[in-house]
Amino acid sequence: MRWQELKNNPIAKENLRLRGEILKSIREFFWQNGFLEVETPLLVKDGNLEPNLELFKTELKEIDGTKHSAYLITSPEYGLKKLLAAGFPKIFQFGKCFRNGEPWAGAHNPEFTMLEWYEAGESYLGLMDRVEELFKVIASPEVAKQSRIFEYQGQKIDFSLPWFRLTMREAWQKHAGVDLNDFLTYDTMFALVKEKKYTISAGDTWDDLFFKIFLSEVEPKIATLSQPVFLYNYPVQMAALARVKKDDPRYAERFELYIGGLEIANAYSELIDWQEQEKRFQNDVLLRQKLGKETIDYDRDLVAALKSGLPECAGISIGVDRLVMILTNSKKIEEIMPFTASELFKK
Amino acid sequence: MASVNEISKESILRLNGEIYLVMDSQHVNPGKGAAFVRTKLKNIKSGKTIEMTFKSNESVEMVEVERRRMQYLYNNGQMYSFMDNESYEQIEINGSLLEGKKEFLKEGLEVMVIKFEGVPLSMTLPMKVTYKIVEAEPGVKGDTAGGNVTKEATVENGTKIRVPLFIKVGEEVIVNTETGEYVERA
Repeated sequence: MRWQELKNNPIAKENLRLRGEILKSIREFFWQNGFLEVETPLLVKDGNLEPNLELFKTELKEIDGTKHSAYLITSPEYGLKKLLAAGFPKIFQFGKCFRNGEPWAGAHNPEFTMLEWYEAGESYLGLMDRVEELFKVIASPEVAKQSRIFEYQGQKIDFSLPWFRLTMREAWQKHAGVDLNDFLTYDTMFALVKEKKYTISAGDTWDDLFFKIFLSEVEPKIATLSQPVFLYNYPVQMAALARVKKDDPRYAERFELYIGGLEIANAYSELIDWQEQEKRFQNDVLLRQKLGKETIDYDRDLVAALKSGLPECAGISIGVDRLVMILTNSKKIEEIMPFTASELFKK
Repeated sequence: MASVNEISKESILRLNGEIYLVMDSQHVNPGKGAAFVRTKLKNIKSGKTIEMTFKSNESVEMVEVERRRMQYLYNNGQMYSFMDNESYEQIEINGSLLEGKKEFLKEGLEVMVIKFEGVPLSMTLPMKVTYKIVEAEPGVKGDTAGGNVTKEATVENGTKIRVPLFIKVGEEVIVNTETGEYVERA
């Protein structure tokens, strides 16, 4: 039993204490930098539409017995964007998110903690600076009991600033040996994947083909770097809710942060064009149907909020559990959570 | 054909006409992407290792293998010798096919040897194995990074592992051969 382990093993206990310290210093950082903490709902009517995520579905009952389908959020982004439209320029939410049907191992648990924040008047580049500032505080000796140079699972990680910034195109050039610009159409990427002898199955999208090469040749190399890495400018096919680059519409203003091989954060200069947003939502609804995922409607209230005017802004989500894993040198998520799903459901 | 989700470290696959031993496999869910299985595959002819990522709904061709219970005898340079418990036949496996596993072999340990077309290619270790500590610093202050208070110790076959500070020379400990981590006192 996990509670017995916590009772008897001082190391296990210390990890949870450090987790609390890290959460506290994150909150303080945002308050000191003029952000407002908000709590948008975890239980919602319109679930997040990301085509590859499986949602937790539940049923909401009124006192007279009227029933509504309801979902747990996979990210608070819809609620936070409505608040941005309502005139809250700097907000953060710190809370639980839920994903169903994923592995219960390594860095995954179906219920996890996400930090998400938005800043009006900022772009994704400004967010990179903010992330570096945040880590200056939380990865400090006072909080994490480590020096500026950490060791994570035997790998040195140097948090000294500035961190490494690498475009997706540069990363492909360096590690996959090709110019990504030449493979941005389905046919060209298909030919490349075939030439490199990866498997190809009916129904593979451009993104799927991209990931077969990226996950085999590019990401493992990024994982070995001894510095945190901002990987930025994603192909527009993977824009999700990011704005397209004005000077190069083949790419979107999106970045991911990797530390010690773990994917820690995902960020965008946010899409504020309501028509483009509605179009992407409609595509996602169709894609979910095609993938055999449960059909859900898109959040029309969010489109309406965007239509009323969203300021230019940027937003980011950070996987807090993974961040705690790195700062406590923990290999598995169960070492830094009080009780995981496998503890609760498999014993 | 089998689902790529079913492959594990000891699986043997036929891919593009070549035979590969799965050295490592891992589920990956990239941000905003579908689910994938990332593998490290060793070509058993050339010895070359490649990284190969499959979409999790894809199928792969697993080849029929023979599994024999054998006892580890000794190693002679690169070659590791085992004896079949029933037929007393002795076989050798090249150390390059035993990466991440050979460190856990000790004389007399029972393992499962995997043969393909009569040729031994790999073996499976018991999940937990007991070793005797032959060298360990006395209760020093240890490595406290991240609060994990451990020290280095050497076990009977020369492998170094991390153990809690209270473990002394001469004690027996149980090690998880999958992760190389200390589990408990034997």
